[in-house]
Amino acid sequence: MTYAMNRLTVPVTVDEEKCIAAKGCTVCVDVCPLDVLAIDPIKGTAYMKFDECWYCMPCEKDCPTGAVQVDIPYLLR
Amino acid sequence: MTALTTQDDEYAQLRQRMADTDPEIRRIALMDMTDSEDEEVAEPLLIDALRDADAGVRAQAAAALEGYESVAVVAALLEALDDCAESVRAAAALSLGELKDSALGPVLLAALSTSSGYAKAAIFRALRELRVQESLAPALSAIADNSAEVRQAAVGVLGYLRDPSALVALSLVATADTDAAVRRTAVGALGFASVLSDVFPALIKALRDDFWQVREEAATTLGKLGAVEAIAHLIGTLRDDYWQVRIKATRSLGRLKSRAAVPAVSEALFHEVSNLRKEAAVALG
Repeated sequence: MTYAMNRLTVPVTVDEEKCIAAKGCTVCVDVCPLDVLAIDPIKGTAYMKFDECWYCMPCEKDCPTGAVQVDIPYLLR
Repeated sequence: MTALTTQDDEYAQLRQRMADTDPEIRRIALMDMTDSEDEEVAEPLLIDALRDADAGVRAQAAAALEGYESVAVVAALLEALDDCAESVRAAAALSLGELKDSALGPVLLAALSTSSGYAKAAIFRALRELRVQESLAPALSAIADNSAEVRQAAVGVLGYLRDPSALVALSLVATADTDAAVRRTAVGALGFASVLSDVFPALIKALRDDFWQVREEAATTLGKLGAVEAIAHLIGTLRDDYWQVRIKATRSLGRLKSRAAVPAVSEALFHEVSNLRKEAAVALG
């Protein structure tokens, strides 16, 4: 049985310890040109809601606490 | 009336968030301010934030002040150039570098005499685009500074001022400075000369510099100046060890429409580096 249809990993990961979305920060959500990031209202952290990343990197670069990490696929590097 | 009340509310809320004990809340409030508030409300708050206890907040404030052009802002940013945190100093230098209003020149000039090193270089970089005539004298004396960073920024100011009286000093820096980056900047700055003979000897000497970036810049500048007298030297440069330098020499020879260079440029059509082959084709075409 294959699980290829249910991806468990996404390219943009957010370190929940570092994320300060609960304090009102929305930098990564605001800078994303594809609008694929969102704030989880329950956990109060950002997460990747839709897996449509262009790997353009502003979310990682602009995050004030360095919580966002974008994993660029090997073949795009 | 309602609009005014909403604005007042927003302002009160911002003030409250700016006074929060959590530096991250203060920092996020600053980010929101950059997006939404009008300058009059934001300016004093941002200036206050430059004296925040947290370096992250100070750096954010220094970055947010980019585009604010007033004496108070410039004075506060100048103070931030001596901040203990590197991120704050860098953000303040960047914001100062974006100034466009030449009326702020005197404020920057006044700070030059008491500054040194990084701060002094940042002030010169800010002065560059303002092109105020009064920056000529301080820039001329700073090209003898101990710090290469300051010398390079001062050379930048002279290049932007385009004052012919600086050409002698710039020629000297272009050929005799100990730092290659400073020499390179000076060689580029010589491009504003209106009389070629003033800068010709310096540029020819720079064409034989030990560092290839300086030679590259000299080849470009000679082409920009339309220096037909330099054709023989540029043809010699077509044999430079670095193809990057050869590219610039080829381009300049093309601009000078030199017939004498045709055989040497044609040879470059078969060089292993495609960029150089392309440049040779463009020059011949």
